[in-house]
Amino acid sequence: MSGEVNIKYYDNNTLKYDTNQTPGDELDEKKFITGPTISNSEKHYRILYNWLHGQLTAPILVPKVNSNYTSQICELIVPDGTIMILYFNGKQLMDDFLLMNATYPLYFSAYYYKNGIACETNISSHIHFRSYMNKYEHDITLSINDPDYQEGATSNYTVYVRIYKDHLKTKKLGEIVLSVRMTSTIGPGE
Amino acid sequence: MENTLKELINNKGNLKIIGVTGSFGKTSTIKILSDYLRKIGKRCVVYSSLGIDAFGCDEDEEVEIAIYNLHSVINAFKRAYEIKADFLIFEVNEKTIDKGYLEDIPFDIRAITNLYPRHNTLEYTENEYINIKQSFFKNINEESICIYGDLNKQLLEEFLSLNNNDKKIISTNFLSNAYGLDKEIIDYLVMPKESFDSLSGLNFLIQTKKEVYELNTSLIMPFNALNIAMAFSIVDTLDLLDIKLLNEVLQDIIIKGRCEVVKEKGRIVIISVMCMPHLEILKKYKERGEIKSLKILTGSYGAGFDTWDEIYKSDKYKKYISGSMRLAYNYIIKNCDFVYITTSDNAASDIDELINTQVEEVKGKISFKAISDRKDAIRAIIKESNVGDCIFINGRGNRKVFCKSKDKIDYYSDIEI
Repeated sequence: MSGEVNIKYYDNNTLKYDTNQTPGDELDEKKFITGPTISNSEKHYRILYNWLHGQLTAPILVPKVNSNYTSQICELIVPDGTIMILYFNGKQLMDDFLLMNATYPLYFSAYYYKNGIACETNISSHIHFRSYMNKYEHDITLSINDPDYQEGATSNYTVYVRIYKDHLKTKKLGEIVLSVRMTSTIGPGE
Repeated sequence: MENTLKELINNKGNLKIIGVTGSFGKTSTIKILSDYLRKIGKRCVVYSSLGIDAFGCDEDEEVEIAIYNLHSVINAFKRAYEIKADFLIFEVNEKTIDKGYLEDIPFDIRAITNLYPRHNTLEYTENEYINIKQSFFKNINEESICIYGDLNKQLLEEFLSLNNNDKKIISTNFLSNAYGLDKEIIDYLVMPKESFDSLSGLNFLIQTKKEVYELNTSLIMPFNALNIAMAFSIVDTLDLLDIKLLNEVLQDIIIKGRCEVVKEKGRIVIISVMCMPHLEILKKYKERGEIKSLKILTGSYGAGFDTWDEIYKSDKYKKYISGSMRLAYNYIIKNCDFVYITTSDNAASDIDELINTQVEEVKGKISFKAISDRKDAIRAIIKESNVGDCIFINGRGNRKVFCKSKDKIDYYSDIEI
């Protein structure tokens, strides 16, 4: 179409998207998350953090000239396996630490589907920079809002974790999925 | 919440509600019953310790108490209405009755499998236990049909006097003779066939007032004949009996963790919650030549996990466990050839102490091996077994929560290992 410019997006030196966009429009954000690849009981994700033009972040609006952008990737490492939560007397205790390490600090919200309806659930994160691995360690606490949960039983949840670049959670990068299991024990069985 | 429940009950419509209580056999009875009802195309919501039909729950995922609180009852009803269920089936244990969660439920059928007054001496005296079970049959809705299983003469008379509702009675030839019951009052009489029980299963008859039915099952423990008879009586009372279909269900049935049998490479592995009277039955099969050697894996419980009820942190509980352990090991020594000693929910207890206490019970009396990690112990008993062995893995059934310290859990079932 006349008036449009060609915008190419490269990831790992490979052309990922080849688009024609109208100058002055909002630049197509082309967000992506790839993965997970699993190794050593860890899930590795590659999250698009920014598109860069040289050293600069890509503009918000489509420029007037053809442009190439390269990906700035945030690696995210999440422990593989099901996250166990022990429920007791209205409180939820995570059975183990849930540490997610990433190239940049990230922010999260979470939800699960119940009968087709998205139910927000609680996720909080304390961030520490670990210089020895040059990564930001996110110490995650997750608790499930499920008023129908029955004590003594085990419920499984597929939790979708939205990932944001910013503390105010306005700049969404994508989502990952966690398997969560909530159980409780009030005695040693029969 | 009570108002919500009342409203749900008032909308019952054609939903049939069945409650099964008793000391043993509730879970197995309900499993047989629900498998059959589903086979004939009926929709069922089941709340039993084998699993509950609730959001996020796997129906095969063991629960500690099926009806934990009023919320569970409400959830069960809501689920039943959601799927337009034909049947809502509750496993009713003494705690559930004691707390009154099922008081207002208009059961269509109330069944008691059996009653052993000393079944739960940790929490109730014998009289308290009997009274609680009896209260499930007292002051009940008129239309509720009551079905009574293995009760001695005195207990049966007491139960029969609790209400004027329609009733049915189940017994066996042997038990009715032993208890001095008049056979005329028995609605379902279990009679073994010549080759009644073996590792291949059970063959027996049920005689009703009108007919005699032949039943065959792959379940191997003779007491399951009574559980089957209970399920049979419920189905017959509902006028839904198709003996051919029932036998089909019984041929393939698996009751997870309740004497669940796995046959592999010439060995028989049995996963069970308890070992009495199972081991003496297996010993009988061994004496017939069906088993070469009977090996058991078992472990004592610990105490004091953070989220356990207070009673499981008490001295009373520790004494109870100690007494139960002694009883169990005496029984094991009489009936088994080898024992693998390990742990089962060690919780806050010291593992070495738990193991050593158990070793003291068996040293010099039976060949044994002690392995503190339960998973390693299971692997060892399987690996070190021979063709013809029967391996009995005792204590956890299909339970997945394993309290490995004061506040940490593992999550696996014995059969997965």
